[in-house]
Amino acid sequence: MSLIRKYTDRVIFSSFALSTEALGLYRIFYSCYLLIFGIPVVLWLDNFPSAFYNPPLLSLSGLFSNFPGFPFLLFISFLTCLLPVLLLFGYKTRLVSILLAFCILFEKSFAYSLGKIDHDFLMWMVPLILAFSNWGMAFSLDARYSQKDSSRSAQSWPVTLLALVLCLGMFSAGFPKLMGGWLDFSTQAVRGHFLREFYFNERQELLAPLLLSLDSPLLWEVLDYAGVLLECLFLFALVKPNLFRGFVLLAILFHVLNYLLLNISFSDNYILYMLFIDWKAVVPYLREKRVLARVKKSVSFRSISLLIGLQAFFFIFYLSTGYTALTLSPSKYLFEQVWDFSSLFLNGLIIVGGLLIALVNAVNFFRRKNFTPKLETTKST
Amino acid sequence: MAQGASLIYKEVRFMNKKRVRLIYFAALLIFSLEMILATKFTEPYPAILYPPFADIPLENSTVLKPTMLVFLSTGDSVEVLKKEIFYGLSNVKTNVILSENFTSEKSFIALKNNKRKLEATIGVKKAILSLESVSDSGEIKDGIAWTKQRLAETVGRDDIERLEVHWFSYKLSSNQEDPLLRDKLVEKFILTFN
Repeated sequence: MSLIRKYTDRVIFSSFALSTEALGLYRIFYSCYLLIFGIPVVLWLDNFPSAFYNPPLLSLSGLFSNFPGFPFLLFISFLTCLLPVLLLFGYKTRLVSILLAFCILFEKSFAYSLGKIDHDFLMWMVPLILAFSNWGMAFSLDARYSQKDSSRSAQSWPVTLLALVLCLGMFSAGFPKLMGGWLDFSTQAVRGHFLREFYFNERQELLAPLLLSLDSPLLWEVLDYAGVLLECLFLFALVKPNLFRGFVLLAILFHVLNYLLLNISFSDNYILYMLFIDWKAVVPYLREKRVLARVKKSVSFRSISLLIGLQAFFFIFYLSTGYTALTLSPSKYLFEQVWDFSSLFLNGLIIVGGLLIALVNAVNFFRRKNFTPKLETTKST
Repeated sequence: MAQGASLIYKEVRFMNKKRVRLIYFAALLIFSLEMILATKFTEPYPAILYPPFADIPLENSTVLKPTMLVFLSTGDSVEVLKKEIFYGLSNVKTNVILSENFTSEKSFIALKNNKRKLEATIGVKKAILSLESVSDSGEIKDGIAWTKQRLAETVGRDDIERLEVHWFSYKLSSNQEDPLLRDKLVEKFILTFN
């Protein structure tokens, strides 16, 4: 019994240990992701009548009988837009993280009350869980001005908990496939879904037309097996952090394939994937290039005021456009409204960018791993 | 004295660890419950779940697709795009709105009667937790008025008599030239504006 406890404790409390600097940088990445690629807003719900109100099972919106009024939607949308700025600069980090998580969760509960639930729970779960990792201890106003925060240490159990959440999510997708007969050689499930997406939902862009002519049951079956195995085995990868990182890389490749062939992008998952890159290589590299010093210098009340002003201005601009967009996103506005690109384009940038980061990181990791024994041998001789 | 302080520190660490273990246990428990709810009833929110896509679409399997037709007082009819009516929402989202509100089984013009509920028998008593709001006649009137107004704005005409949502079933065939076959009209949902 104590052996099992020791083992689980080791996995929970030390396997995904990150430095305060790594957590601080990740907090900046998360905030920037929201600020650039889209903060959820719910003002668009004001366009719909309460007759269509159909809250999901057990959701917070189930406590209400219809959509909230415009003043409430305006308040929560504006608050959600400002909180990532505070989080970016690490101001009252723990409180702001929890508040942001609940604001997004609240917004999403109402947004999904039209019937369709999107699976982007990581967006609010990341700040909610990492609030307890002390991710505001580096590159933050808290670290600069608060005595209390400097006495805290980085906690790794929230990082492991997020890894577990990802594993469970993957398992929830893989297990029904396993039970639904995806591994049966007489049926090709991926092919069926591909054709359905291609013809019914008209997802016919990127590499999708090329796959129409692929008539090899064996290759399609390989894809069936790959999907089920990846999603089901993710859970077991949790025991070894490096194995888990390998699975994250495979998941990124899986999303790239989904994007190219089925035109489905799970770009919001990249928020979490980036937490599991090899920060032990990233932090020294950025320090060497003097990026960390510059980041530290830019954290000030002056910068935060400037960004809050900019964000408020952008929010007012959003209001003037008739608020039909589901997110407040400068990049989406630029790519989709001004330059008239398809929404696939921006998602593609995120997916390919994430893939490049993950690949460079993996190559660096293996190079470092191969060099370390040689150095040790040199020392011992 | 120092040893005593160290013992207290260890105790605090132990308590923290205990709390963290409890959080992990709760996460696993919540996940299991959500999996059961999603399989037996409907998908809850919030949930640590990804879409399963567990079904295997075979050749000749059918899928329903809605078409919205507006009938004017002159007798003409116009097909309207779902995207235009529902403020640019995606194809998937608009299909869900239509399937949740514009079918005979799930119609927004019918008074909802707490279809979704959780039931549990505790001892000899039966506990029922309602999970769906009840729409009143005022909401229904608002919904009809909203639909008429959106259609009028989209079509650019005020003389709209009715909306018909046609649910066609489509089959996927192996014929590469014409892979999508419109099979039959499964349902016609009619909303009359008087």
